[in-house]
Amino acid sequence: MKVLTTSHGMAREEGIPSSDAFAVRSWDQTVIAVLSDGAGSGEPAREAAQRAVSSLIEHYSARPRSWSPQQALTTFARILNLALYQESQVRYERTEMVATLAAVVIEGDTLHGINLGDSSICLWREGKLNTLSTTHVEAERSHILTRALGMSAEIEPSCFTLTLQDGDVAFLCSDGVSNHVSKDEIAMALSRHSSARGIVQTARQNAKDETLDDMSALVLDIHQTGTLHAMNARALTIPAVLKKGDEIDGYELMRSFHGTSRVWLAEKDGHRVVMKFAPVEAVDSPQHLEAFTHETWNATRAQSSHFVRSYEPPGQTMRYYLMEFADAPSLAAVLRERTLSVDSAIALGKFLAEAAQTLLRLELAHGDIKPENILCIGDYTRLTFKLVDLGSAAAIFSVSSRAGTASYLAPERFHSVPISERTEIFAIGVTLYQALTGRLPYGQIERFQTPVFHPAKRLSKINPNIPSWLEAVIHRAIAIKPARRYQHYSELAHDLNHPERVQPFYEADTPLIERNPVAFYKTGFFVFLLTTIWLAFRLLSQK
Amino acid sequence: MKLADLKTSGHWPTLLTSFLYFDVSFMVWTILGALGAQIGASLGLTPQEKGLMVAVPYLSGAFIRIFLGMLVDRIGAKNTGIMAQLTVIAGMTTAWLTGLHQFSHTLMLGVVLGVAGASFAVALPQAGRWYPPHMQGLVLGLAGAGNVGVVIDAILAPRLAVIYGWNTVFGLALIPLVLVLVIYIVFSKEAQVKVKKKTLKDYVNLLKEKDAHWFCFFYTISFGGFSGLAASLIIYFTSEFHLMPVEAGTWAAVCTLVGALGRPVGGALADRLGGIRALHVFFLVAALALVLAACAGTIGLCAFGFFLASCAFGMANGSVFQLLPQRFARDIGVMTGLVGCGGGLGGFMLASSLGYSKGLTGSYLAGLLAFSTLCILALIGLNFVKLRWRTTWGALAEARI
Repeated sequence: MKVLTTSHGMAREEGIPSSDAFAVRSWDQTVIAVLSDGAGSGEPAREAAQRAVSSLIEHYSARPRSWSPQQALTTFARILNLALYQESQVRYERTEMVATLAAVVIEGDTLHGINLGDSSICLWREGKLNTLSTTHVEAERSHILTRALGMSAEIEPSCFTLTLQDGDVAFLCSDGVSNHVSKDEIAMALSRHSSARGIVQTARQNAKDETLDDMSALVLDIHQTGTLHAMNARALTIPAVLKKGDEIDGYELMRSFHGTSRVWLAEKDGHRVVMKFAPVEAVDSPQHLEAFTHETWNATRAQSSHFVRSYEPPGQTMRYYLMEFADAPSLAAVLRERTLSVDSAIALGKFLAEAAQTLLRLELAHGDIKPENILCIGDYTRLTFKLVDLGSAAAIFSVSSRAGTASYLAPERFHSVPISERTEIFAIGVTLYQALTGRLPYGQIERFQTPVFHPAKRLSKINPNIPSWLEAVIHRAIAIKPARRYQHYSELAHDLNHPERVQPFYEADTPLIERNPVAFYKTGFFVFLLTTIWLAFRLLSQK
Repeated sequence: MKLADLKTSGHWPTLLTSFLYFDVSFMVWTILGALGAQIGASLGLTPQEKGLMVAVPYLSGAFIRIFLGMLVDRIGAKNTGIMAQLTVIAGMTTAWLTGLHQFSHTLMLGVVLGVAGASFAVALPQAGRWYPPHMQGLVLGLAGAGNVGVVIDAILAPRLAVIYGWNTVFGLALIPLVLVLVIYIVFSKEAQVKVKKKTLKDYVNLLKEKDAHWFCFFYTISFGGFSGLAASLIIYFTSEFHLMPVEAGTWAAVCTLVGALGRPVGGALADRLGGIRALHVFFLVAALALVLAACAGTIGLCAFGFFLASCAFGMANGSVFQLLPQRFARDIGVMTGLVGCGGGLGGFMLASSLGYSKGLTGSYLAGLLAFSTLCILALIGLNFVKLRWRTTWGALAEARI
C-alpha cells in the first residue's frame, strides 16, 4: 500500500489559535485521517476538536481485533460524544464542547468513513469529485449545525464504505475551505496533484474579510491500494457451559474463580493464565456483547505495572481474553485476617492514585475500586498491589447510573452525577479507610438504596496509631460534598507524598472539641480562669 | 414530583377509575372474611371450613391474575376490566338471589370472587401505562391504596349483616360494584402504548432466576400475611374472645388500617435505609408480633400484636415493590404477576392454616407459629439475596430500566 498524505491548516487571524484540528497516522496496511472543527471560536470548542482528533486516532489504533472498522469508528464517536457532552455539562453547565467530525480509515483496499456536522469528505476519481459525507446543517441557516460531537447525549453519525482503486484521492476539509473553493476547483486542483497547502491558500485568497474562517484540509493520495483486506468481525463463538478440564484453543481449564463460571484459571504448556469469557447473555443480547468487547478493549490497552497484563491471543476461536495469573489474595481476603499497617496503607493510596492516573490518560475511570478488586502481592510487611477487573471501566463522565458497588459510590452518584475523578477519589478513600480499620466509613450500603450520608467516624478514634496527616488525607478523599474532596488524582498523590504539607480536614459540622481539642481545652481553661478571677474580685471588693 | 403533576401528565380520570375499581374489587374479594363469623354461625361450619371459605378467594385470585394479566396485553385493559367486573357482579347477584345454603356454595362463590382479587393485574397496569417512568411509583401507590377496601369491609359488612342479614349484604355490595362499573366504562381510557405480550414462557423463564424465587417468597409472606390476617381476624376475635361480629369487625379494622396505608411508608424506608435492611426489620417484627398475638390472653394485647404484624406486613409490601422494579427492570410486568400470585397463595396459606390449626388442635397457636416460622425463613432468604447483591452492579443491568 502506498498512500501519500499532505495536510495544511490556517487560522482565521495570525496569532489566534485555530479551532480546527486534524491529524493523520498510518501503520501496516492502515491509514487513519481525522479532521474536526470546533463550533465557534471559544476555548471549550477548540479543546473539543483537539480531543476528538487525538482520541479517535488513539482509540482506533488500539481497537479490539474483533471489531470491524465501521463498528469501531461509530462506537468511538459515540463514546467521545457522550464524554464531551457530559464533561461540558459538568464544567460549564451547558453545551459548550461541540465540534464537527470527519474521519476516514483506509484498511487495505477499503475506505471507511464517518462524519458529523459540516466538515466534508470527498473522493476524487478520474477527474471527478464525489462528496461522500452528509452535511448536517439547517436548511435555512446553513451555519447552524444539526449534528455534531458533544451536541446531545446521543448522536447518529453518517457512515460510508467503498472500495478504492489505485490513483484515487481522498480529501477532507473544514467548512472554511469548502465555503470558499468550489467543487470543480477542488477537482481541478486534485487533478494537478496539488497539495493540501495549495488548496487552503486558494480558499484564503477567495475569502473576504467578513467570511474569513479557520481553514484546514487533508489530502490522501492513494497511489496503490493495499492487498490486505480489512479484518472483518470474526465469527467467534460464546460457549454456553464451561467445566473443569475443557480445552479451549489449547488452554485447559483448571478452576473457576469466585463462583463465577466465566473466569477460569487455565494452563497451556505449563504456563498459567486467567481466561475471561464473554457472558452467556451475549449470545443473544448485542448490548452484552458490546459491553464485553469494550471490556476487552479497555483491558488490553491498560498496559502498565498497575494492572495484570491482558491480551487477546492470536487465532482465538471463542470470545474471551487472557490475563496473566498473579497468584495473590485480594485485599478483601487480606482484610478478613487483619487490617493493613499504616505504611502499607500509604503505599496502597499512592498505588491507587497512580493506577487511576494511568487510566485517566486513556480517558478511563475504573468505576469499581474496592478491596475485592485489588490484589496484594508479596509479604505482609512489604505489599505491592495490582488493580484488576476493568469490567466496569468506562470513559470518564460517560456513566451516570449507579453502576459499581453501592458502598463505594460517591454520594452524588446516587443522584445521577456522572463518574469523574472526584467520584473515583471517593472510592479510593473508602478503600483506604477500610484497609486501615476493617470497616466502611458510611456503613454497608445496599444496591437499591438512596442513602443519607452522615460524617464518618474519625480514623484516629478507631485506631490511634494512624497519623493525623493520613487521617486528614483519607477524610478529605471521602468528604460527603464533592467540592470539598480532592479534585484530581494528582492532588491526592501529592498529599500522600508530602505529609508535612497536608492541611487538616474536618467535615463542615465537626465541633471544635474534635477539630482541635487542645485549643478547646485551652480556651476553656482561660474562660474558667477569668471567671474565677472575676468572681474572686467581686467577693473581695464586697468586703 | 408533586401531586399537581398528575393533572398535567397522564390521564387522571383513568387513574381515579382504576383506583375505584381496585378498591371495590378488594372489598368484594375480602367480603367472605368480613362476613365469615356470621356465615359460619348460620351454616354451622367447622373452623377448618371457615378457614377454607375465607382462603379460597385468595387461591383462585392468585391464578386468575396471571390469566387476566395476559388478557390485558391481548384485548386491552379496559375490556378485561369490564369482563372481570361483569363476572364478579354476576357471581354476587347469584349469591344474593339464590343464597348460600351449604359449605360448597361458599367455595364456589370464593372462586368467582378470585376474579375480583385479580383486578390488581388490570387496574395497576392500566393506570401505570398512562404515566412516565418517574411517576410510576406515585401512580402505582395511589392505585394500590385500594387496599383500604378491606378496612371498609371489616367496619361495614358485619354491621349491615346484623341489620339486613348477611345474604342481603351481597345484594348491597352490588350497588358500589355497578356504580363503579358504569363510571369505569364511561371515563377510563386505554393508554396508547405498545406492550410486549406476556406469554407463559416469560413466566417460566423468569423463574430460572434465584432472586425471582425469593421475591415471590417475600411477597408470599408480606402480602399473604397482610391479607390473610385481614380475612381471618374477625373469625379469630369472635371465636377466641367471644366478641360479637360487629365488635370483632371494629377490632379487625383497627388492626389492619395502618397496614393498608403502610405501603408508601415501607417503600420510602426501603429507599432510604435499603430494601433488604428494611425487610429484615419488618419480617422480624412480624414474626415476634405474631407470637405475641398468639400467646396474648387479653383482647387488647392480642389486637396490639396483630396491629404490629399487619403494619409490618403492609410496609414490607411497599419495600418489596421498591426493590422489584429496580431488580427486574425489563421483566417487571411478568414479575409483578408472578409475585402477586405468590402473595395470593400466602393469603390462602395463612387463612386456611389458621382454620385447620383451630379444627385439629383446638387452638390457633400452631397456625400462627407456623406463619411466624415462615417469616424467619424469609429472614434467611434475605441474607442470601444480600450476599449476592454485594457484588458489582453492572452498567448494563442498570441500563435496562
